[in-house]
Amino acid sequence: MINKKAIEIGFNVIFAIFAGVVILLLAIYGATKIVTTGEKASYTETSAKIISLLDPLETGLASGKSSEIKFKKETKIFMECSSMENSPFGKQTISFSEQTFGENFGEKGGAVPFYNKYVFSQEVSQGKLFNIFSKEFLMPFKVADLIIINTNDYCFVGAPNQIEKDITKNLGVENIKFADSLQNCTGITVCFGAQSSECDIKVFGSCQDGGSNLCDTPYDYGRVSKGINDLYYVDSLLYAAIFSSPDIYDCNLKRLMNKFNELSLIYIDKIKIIERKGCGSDIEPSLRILMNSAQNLSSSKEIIGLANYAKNINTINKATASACRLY
Amino acid sequence: MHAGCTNMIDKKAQLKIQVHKNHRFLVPKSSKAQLKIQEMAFFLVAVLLFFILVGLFAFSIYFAHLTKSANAVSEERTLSSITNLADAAEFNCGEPNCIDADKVIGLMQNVKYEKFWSFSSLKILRSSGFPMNKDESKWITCTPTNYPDCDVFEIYDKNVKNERTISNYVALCRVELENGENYKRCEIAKVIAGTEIEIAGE
Repeated sequence: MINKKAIEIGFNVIFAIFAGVVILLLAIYGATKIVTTGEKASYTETSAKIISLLDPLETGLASGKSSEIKFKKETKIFMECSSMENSPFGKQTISFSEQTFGENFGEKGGAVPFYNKYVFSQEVSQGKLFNIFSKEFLMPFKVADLIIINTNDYCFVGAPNQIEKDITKNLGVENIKFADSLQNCTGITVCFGAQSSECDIKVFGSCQDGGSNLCDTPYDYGRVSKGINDLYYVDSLLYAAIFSSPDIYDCNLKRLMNKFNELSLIYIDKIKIIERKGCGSDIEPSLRILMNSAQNLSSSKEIIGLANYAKNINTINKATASACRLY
Repeated sequence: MHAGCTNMIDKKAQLKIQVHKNHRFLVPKSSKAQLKIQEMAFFLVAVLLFFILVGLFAFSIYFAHLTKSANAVSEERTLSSITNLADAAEFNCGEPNCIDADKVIGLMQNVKYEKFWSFSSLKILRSSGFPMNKDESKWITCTPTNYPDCDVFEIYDKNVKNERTISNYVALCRVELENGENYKRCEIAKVIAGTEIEIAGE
């Protein structure tokens, strides 16, 4: 060697360094993958546990129930709904992710499907505190419980007393405040009967009975306006329309109608069973007409007609002797 | 004789591992260096194999834990569902924790409900079928024809390989006719729901 001060690095040293770096990179990649997979598995497990937490919200005899889920970190819940898959009941999926470093969220966990719940929420809900409440959906018998998940603060302006009583006293939901005017409001504003552009969501009731006591409030049925989208509702679907994204609302409404059809078949079988015990029922023809209409429901606008028809069935059922009532 | 072979014969400490001389690539000219590279390559392969084995071992432990955890979550879901099942629209008789047997008969004929609940099997056992009254082999399955003279309502069974069941007591009511009067007759019953258990490696 001419320059004796030069450091001699043999080929095998270079080779060893190169191989070492490759092995180290592979090990780092593997470790990262394991951590990510572990995180994803943990998020998927959390999603499955959230579904279990929704079971106690089954209303039973109560008209509604409420609950809260608190997380230590900022959390995102992703909801998806499909009325076509898993026919006739459709399906919803839930996935979960939480804040990891700084403002970043971890990769969302696997989507856990569920078929027997009707969860109304935004497609992505973010927060540490998730407010959940359930309301039964009757048409005219109980079809399912509507589970509503929300994270924001809401302010209901000009809401009728029945709705205020239902939310504050019966359900005990704390993130929904009631006010007489928009000035006293914070959070997402929901205006009842007002056209103001300052309202985030507007509710227009269309129940007018002309003094025949068919309506508890004008908001028994009507529409919820969210910008360009109008969602039509009856009874407890009002809450679903307010708190849910239009896509999830429409999808779940279709799922509910499909479930109504399956339940109607069960009730038609029950009619045959109780006829053996001397219980006659005139409900079947009307129920079949309602089933047909529910099957062909193309938009939420048609739900109001269906609910009115369901009221007639309810009248027939109430006229039957109590032991022989269908529901 | 080939030139390469002549050189090898000349060397005193001859090694059995043949070193190829390929002048197309930049390889050390010394056969000792080439040998070291070969040794290192073998060593690297060994190290890599070791890491793969350790990885596989860790993965098998992790996977077993994952299966266990998935089973626990599934069972938890079954438990929370079954305690509220009597209040579901398909079952409820209008009272808390009460099942309408007249509805269950209709439900049994609707196979679509297999896709509705997460249970692998679901049945309702009437008090007449309880172990102190009757063996499982003697249970009479309810059908629209023999109802209510039967023991068990088999709502559905997916016939899974491994299953663990959880049960919950409920009131089971049906409409009865006696002395020209209709009334609701209730008895105790047991809802039995199965959860499919995944076994790692199966």
